[in-house]
Amino acid sequence: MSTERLIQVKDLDLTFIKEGKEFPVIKGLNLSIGKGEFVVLVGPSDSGKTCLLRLIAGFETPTSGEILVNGQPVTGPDPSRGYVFQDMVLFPWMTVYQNASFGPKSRGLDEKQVKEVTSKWLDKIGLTRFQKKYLHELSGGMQQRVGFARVMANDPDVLLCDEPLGQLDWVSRETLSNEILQVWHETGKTVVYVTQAIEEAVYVAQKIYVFTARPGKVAQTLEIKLPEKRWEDKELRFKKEYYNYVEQLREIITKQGSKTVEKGPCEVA
Amino acid sequence: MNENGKIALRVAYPQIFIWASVAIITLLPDIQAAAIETKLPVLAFLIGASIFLAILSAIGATNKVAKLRLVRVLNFYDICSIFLTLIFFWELLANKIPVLDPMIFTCPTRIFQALVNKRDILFSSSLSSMFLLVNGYFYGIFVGIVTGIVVGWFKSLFRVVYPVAKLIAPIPPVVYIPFALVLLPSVTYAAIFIIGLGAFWPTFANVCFATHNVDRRVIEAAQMLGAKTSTIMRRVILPFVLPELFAGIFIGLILAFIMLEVAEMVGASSGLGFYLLSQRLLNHYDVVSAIIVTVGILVIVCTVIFDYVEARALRWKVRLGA
Amino acid sequence: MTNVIEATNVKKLYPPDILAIDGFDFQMKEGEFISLIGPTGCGKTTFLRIVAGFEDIQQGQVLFQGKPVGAPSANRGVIFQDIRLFPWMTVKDNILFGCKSRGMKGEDQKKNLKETMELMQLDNEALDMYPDRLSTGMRQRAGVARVLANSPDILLLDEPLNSLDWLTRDYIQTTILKLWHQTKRPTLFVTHNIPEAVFVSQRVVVMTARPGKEKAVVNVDLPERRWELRRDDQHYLDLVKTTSRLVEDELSKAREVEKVVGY
Repeated sequence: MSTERLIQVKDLDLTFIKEGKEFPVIKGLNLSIGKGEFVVLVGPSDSGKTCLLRLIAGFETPTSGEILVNGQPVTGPDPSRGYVFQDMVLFPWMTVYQNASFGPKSRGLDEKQVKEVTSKWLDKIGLTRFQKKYLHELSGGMQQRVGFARVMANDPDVLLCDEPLGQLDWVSRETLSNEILQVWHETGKTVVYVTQAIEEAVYVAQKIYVFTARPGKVAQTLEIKLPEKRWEDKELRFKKEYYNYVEQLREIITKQGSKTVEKGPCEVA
Repeated sequence: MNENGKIALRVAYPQIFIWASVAIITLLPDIQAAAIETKLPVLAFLIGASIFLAILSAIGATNKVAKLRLVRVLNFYDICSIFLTLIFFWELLANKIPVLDPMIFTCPTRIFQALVNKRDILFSSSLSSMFLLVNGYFYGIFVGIVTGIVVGWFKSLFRVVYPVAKLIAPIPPVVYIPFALVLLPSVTYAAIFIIGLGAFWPTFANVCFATHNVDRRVIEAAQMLGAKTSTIMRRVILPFVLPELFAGIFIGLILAFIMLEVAEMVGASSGLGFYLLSQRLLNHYDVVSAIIVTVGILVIVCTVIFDYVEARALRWKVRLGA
Repeated sequence: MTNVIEATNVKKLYPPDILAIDGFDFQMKEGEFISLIGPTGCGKTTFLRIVAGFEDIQQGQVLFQGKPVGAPSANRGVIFQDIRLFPWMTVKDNILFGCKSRGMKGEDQKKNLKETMELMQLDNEALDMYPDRLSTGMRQRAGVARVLANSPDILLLDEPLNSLDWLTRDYIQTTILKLWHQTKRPTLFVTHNIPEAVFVSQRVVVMTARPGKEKAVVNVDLPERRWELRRDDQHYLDLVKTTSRLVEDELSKAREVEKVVGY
């Protein structure tokens, strides 16, 4: 795996001003993520990990410092930085196919190219059968698959996932996390993944960054040395070595303990 | 009483009132001095309704598909019941028992007679009115939707325009009629303008506000996928605010109708409003009632078409429940 | 000794044609902590709502403390997944709502408030805030406090930890376990999180796909001081595996029943 740094975060500061009060969410954060890595960000709910994801995506601008992706500073949202939302945020008035092809179409590709790349990704993710359906006819797991398909159709450099499995039931989470790993393994994309579920974090990650409470910094890094093709081991989730990492992560996060009272600016609900 | 008994009652109810009405119309003497030329129209309507409902009941009782739509069908029966009860008591109190003044409260028999007698002029007036309405309405909502999205999108525009709009909107478009008549080439243009204005405000207000409050994450998703602002407005914002948009243009439809009648009464030389005014001045209250009924029918037809279009446009919205 | 919950042959139909539960039997003895799990749509939340008194049944009977379940009441406390604090009241008023409604005396109210505050680690700053401004974790702490302040005879938890951050989830889970250990108040815990179900309860009841029936019961013979258990304990992991396999088996059947496509 390449050690080339795809994402570089330098001296990042993010302070929100709400009702005359200052909310320092991130202060002096330095981080770098290598090309092709699968990195998971965990931490207390106000630690700014979701804010960091949104900053990398370009949805928010930092108060100071900069973020470089592929050597270029981030100035706004872009198809090269695909984002998968926790509650999907799809377009319910469009069919599955139309949702998935929205990206390629908006970027100005011609009919043939749009059809080609959309069909390819719908097929890879197992949605071809459902391409003419509307979203309300699909289960949560299928909807989130559409969320992934539409992002992958743009061939992004990095996949930013904001608790993508948060709305799904347990078994769907297991299935979908396996599929995410497979796509990652096959395409070699860089993945930055935020989650609250530590079992999920350990299952998918190569490297976990644990954040401190607000203002967020990286408190500790945990390397997960589980087999690369994890989906092939059906018993992995019940093995001691897996849960050993879960316990380790649990201890590290508990040490960061904070009791956020107020709702953070990046919090969804 | 069990379930089937209740259903049977709801189905029987309209029929009871139809035949009660037929009975009092044919059997009881009229109390007014002026003779009623013909009772045929009202009787034809009532008996026709009876046959229609009977056929509906027969289909409902035998057809399996109809059984699934039972709730809707029964609602339709209930609506019919309300109308027919109204007709019955109206006929009774305005024509058979001296309770209501027959000059002012024209009985259904006379109304139906007038509808049939004056059908030619009612039809041509309706066409004239609908021409003004359709033109005014669609211009009004088109401008309302486009400006609504633009003003709702650009935060600086919104901050300035919306408060001003909120102040101006409640001013009844009626007030602008004199200016419209003077500034625009003809009465027709003026009428269309006033009707359009009536449709414009609720549309603009709803679309503008809904656009301003669009879930920003949907916009972020579209931007992240590479869409430019114009694409976002057309393919993301417009569909997203469609529910509020329909709410707005429905109010716009109601206001358009109101403006139509007012505009016709003030300046037009044809149309239902104008006709209504002239008949009122001649004290032909039976024709006046017939015109009101005609307007009511037009409104109902427009509303039904509107509901159908709305249901189709919003079919992607999740309907809660089975 | 009568069972706390005795449900026999329960059938629940949502008109016109959704049969949520059919022929479901369930018993909960005094002092038990039971988890109820199953594939999506199996009726586990529906059953909890029946016990709570929010839903009626078409057939069978459900007895609580020997009497048929009636309307919802304060002795059957429910902690909801979406928390449902009253947004027009402060946290303090939310917590005391039940006590006030039942006419509790002022000093008793104050005592209850103080106890639940300490238990859920709510400080004075949070008490005077309105729910909208709070983080989800704080809101659920308040939600739990509100129910505990009523001292219910049974706790009914409907996927309470779903949308929470890890720390709050861990904290509330530990608190509920410790509370149970102390008071042995019967608790019914509905969840879709299989490891969690095994971790907290003494028995896990697995339901079939819709229409829901009992599929299997897994006895969880892990130490009583559950919050001290390490999650890489082998016996615990074996139980999680057994339970997972049961649910996965049912899931393939669920996919045919659910009207929505995919899984």
